[in-house]
Amino acid sequence: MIDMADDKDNQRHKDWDHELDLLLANYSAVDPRPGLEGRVLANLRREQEFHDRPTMWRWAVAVCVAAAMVLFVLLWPRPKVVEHKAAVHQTSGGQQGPTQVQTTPQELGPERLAQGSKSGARTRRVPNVVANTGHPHLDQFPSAQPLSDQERALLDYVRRSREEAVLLARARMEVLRRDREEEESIVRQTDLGSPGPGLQDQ
Amino acid sequence: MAGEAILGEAAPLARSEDEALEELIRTCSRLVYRIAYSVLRSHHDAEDATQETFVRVLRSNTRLASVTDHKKWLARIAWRVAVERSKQQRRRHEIALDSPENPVEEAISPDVPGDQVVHRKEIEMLLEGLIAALPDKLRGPLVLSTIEEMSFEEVAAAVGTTEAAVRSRVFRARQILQGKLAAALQKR
Repeated sequence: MIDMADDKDNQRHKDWDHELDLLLANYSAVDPRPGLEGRVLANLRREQEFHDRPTMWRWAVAVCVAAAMVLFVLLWPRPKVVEHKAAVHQTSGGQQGPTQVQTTPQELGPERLAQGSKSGARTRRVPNVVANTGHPHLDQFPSAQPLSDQERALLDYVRRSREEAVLLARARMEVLRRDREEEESIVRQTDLGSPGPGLQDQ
Repeated sequence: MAGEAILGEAAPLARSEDEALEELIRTCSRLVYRIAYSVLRSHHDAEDATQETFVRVLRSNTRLASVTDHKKWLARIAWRVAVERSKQQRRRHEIALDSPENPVEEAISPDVPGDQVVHRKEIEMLLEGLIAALPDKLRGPLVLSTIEEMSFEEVAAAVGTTEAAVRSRVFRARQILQGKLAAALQKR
């Protein structure tokens, strides 16, 4: 009995095996559409032509792309640099920072003498003050930039002794005006052919 | 004669690479197509994969004259192309519709009863589903072994394993298919 059952199982197994063989044999038993070789060859010839074609057009495309990139960089809007016009201008001599000024007691006002200033020519360092250059100026520092050391020193000085600062500024302006007049006279006399008095004195 | 033997061997080397490629296309395009179809199960995709296989052959730096076994070499390329396309399709979640590419031509034959044809088709579709559900390691050797032009040695070269491993995997795959097929058909 057991042998008969085993035989039946074996037979069933063989039948399924055979069935599976038939099914699997048909699984990949397909043929392509007629003319596959011709189509493959035609495609390969096209690939070959594309590969062998002169690459000039590729260079042309590359050059155009590079030119477009250069134009883009050149024409890209750049942020404008805002020039802050500071209230402190340079002196006519283009000097900045503390300058040495030769002053005489006569050039200073009587108030200054009364304050016990030293007699004789002396050299004192005065910070740059506002010179009237004729350009419009603002009453306050316009820029958001921090003050420089010189500007801070000037502010401190003006706050501490305002009257003195005003007097010094006026004296300075007077000196500059006289220098400018002297230079102009020298230039005029040089053009006319005779030396100026200032040169003789020196 | 020795001289003629040498000349005979040298003659294929003198052929141009283009001629060798054309010869390869004529002799192996059907094999490549069947390999592609066994994976992709679509005539359209199989032909695309065949084209791509030969394009890769054209672009490869390997000279055909230097290849000892063209069939194995080509089968390996075709297998890779088909598997890559299959993965791309799965990533795109492409659903294969019941394509009209496989018409029930047998129904035209008056010798085979119509109900048997339909029954046969149902079993074939069932088998396709079961094969698709196999693990990749088993499915690849099995489907390649169904191609009559390919031996176990060539299947092993295509999938990149040994012949013994291929035989073992095919046997295991058949066992699974048998069990599932029997169970499915007995339910009906």
